[in-house]
Amino acid sequence: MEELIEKLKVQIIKQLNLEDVEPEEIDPNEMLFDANGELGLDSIDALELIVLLDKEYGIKIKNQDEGKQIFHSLTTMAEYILQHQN
Amino acid sequence: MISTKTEINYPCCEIKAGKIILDGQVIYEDKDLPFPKFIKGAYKEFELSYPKFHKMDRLCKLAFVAANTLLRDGQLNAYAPTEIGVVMANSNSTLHTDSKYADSIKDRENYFPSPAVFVYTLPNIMVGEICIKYNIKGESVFFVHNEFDKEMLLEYSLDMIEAGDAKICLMGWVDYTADDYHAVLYLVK
Amino acid sequence: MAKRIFITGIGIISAIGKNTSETLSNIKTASSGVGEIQYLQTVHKGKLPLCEVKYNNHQLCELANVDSKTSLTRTSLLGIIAAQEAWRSAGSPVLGDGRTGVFSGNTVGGMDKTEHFYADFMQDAQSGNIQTMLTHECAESTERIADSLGATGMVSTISTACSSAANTIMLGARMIKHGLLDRAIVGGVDALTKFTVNGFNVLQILDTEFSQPFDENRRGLNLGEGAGFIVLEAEGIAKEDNILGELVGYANSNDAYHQTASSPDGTGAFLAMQGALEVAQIEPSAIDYVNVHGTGTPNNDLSEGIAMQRLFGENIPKFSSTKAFTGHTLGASGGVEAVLSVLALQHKIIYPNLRFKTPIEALGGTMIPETELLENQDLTYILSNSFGFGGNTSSLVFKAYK
Repeated sequence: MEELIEKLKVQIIKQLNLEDVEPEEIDPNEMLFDANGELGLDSIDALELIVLLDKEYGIKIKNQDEGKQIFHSLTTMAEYILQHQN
Repeated sequence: MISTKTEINYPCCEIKAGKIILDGQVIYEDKDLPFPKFIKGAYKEFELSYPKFHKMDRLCKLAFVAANTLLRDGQLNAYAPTEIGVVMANSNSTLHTDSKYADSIKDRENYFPSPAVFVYTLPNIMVGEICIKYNIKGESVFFVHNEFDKEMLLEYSLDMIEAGDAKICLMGWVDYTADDYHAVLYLVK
Repeated sequence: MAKRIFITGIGIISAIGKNTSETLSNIKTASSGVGEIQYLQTVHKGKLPLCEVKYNNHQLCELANVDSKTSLTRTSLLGIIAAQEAWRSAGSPVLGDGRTGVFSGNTVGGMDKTEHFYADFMQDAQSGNIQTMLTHECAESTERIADSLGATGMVSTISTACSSAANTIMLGARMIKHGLLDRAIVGGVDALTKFTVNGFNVLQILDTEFSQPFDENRRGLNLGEGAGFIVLEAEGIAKEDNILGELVGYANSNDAYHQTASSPDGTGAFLAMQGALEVAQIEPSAIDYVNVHGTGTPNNDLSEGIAMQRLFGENIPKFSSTKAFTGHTLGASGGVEAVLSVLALQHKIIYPNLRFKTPIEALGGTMIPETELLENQDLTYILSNSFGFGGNTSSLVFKAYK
């Protein structure tokens, strides 16, 4: 789980072009899509995360609403991946 | 009448060949760097501090730095959002980003279109990014032309001002291809 | 300088017909152009409905009167067909004196050909015809349209996403008003491509069913293709018998909110509509019908609805989205809908908003579009909205010529 979270941090930084953000700076339990959050993620980023899950983990998410729960934090993302990865 | 107007020296920012030139003075230079490193260097040098910059494609980054340089003294602050117009053009539309996006879907068996890349496959998005940053809600337009027709774009901008559709206009040309980049923006009033 | 701008010709090709006559027929029988993918070669066939023009490229060549061995792209062919119809309906004026402008709104250019070439080329550099690259860029189709009409005046291409064609209409009107042109053939064209379908799909704004604009349960838009052009002529140049209507208002604004989403308070839309009314010098209460942008996405329809409520208050005019018929034709939509607006004025009709069932709750449940075709309408002013990505919002006001 820890390893997956660290891997996700690197992948997210790359996929979402989060320049100047180091993996250490992302709190695994922090809300990813917090409007006042540090990462400044928006709806397009949410869609990119859906692509990331498909491309790297073979998991298909049907719509953004489903995504909202899964992408709550890195921890919830990692849990979802471990549950659904083939 | 037109030629007299093109002779007026409107505030101008030009970016090309590793240089950023404001009103004729080179204010930033880093030649021989590939564009991404060059523009990131300028972004840091000018402390532009805008996290969404990193998500933009190269064309938008070029437009953004040019606009920020031109407007560094807060020239738009005196105007209401609807009083500011934007008139821009280029020749290659969003060719570089189009290629990047096409790459993500070219393999018929294994394709992952990127939403963040697709968003930038329209040239007027650079206008949108500038408008979001500066809260500009006036009229804007984007042309695809063979060459930079300064006279035409200037005439268009001055007409907007004369007709009362704007009080000030950001006008110019921002083009990017894998081989070259060129931005030249004017503040017209 | 304040010349009146008359519309003397209209031409259209879309999923509901190859010309104005077929378009009207299909509207009268409520026959939408949406359906299973037939022509576009895509993995989404059978999964996503599209509003395709019901002709393959070979057939389009016949309609455009060009040799089938042509290198013309689908985009160019569609544009030529509609522009030619508009020009003929304006009495086929001679365009060789440099006083006619041709302005077209477009987003995909020759991508319909390029995307096939590119995929083949990347596998094997010897395959495909590299000449295809000559037809790739947006402005190419505009040049081909101008050539097909023998127009030697200014030619320009506007690429501002879904408001492109509306912006060409504005440009044409202004140039005529300033005496730079006597006439302008304006509008837009876009063809369906894998590039576009995949892009919109990954942004999750497509409907996997037939779209329901302005409905509480709307799910997204159906992409369409086509072309719509109108001929604008200056007062004094336009012949009385040719006049189909008048362009009296136009405005453009920026929403300044997000690259692809509309602001929650509909600011850009509101400013564009208000601006167009100001140019037309009319009050909101003068508008008889609004042809809304109405793509059917949760975001647009809510934002546009809010903007309309801000502008019209409780007195919302009759309105409908014709995208339930034609799909969202992107760069062509402002032109397609301008043609439909002029047809509405000519024939005194208001279009139905197909497949509408439930009003949007967040708008108070009061914004109900017309669901039946209305005839014998006393129409003077029609407002047409076109809102594009990048926050580019445009509105046009058309007036009946009596």
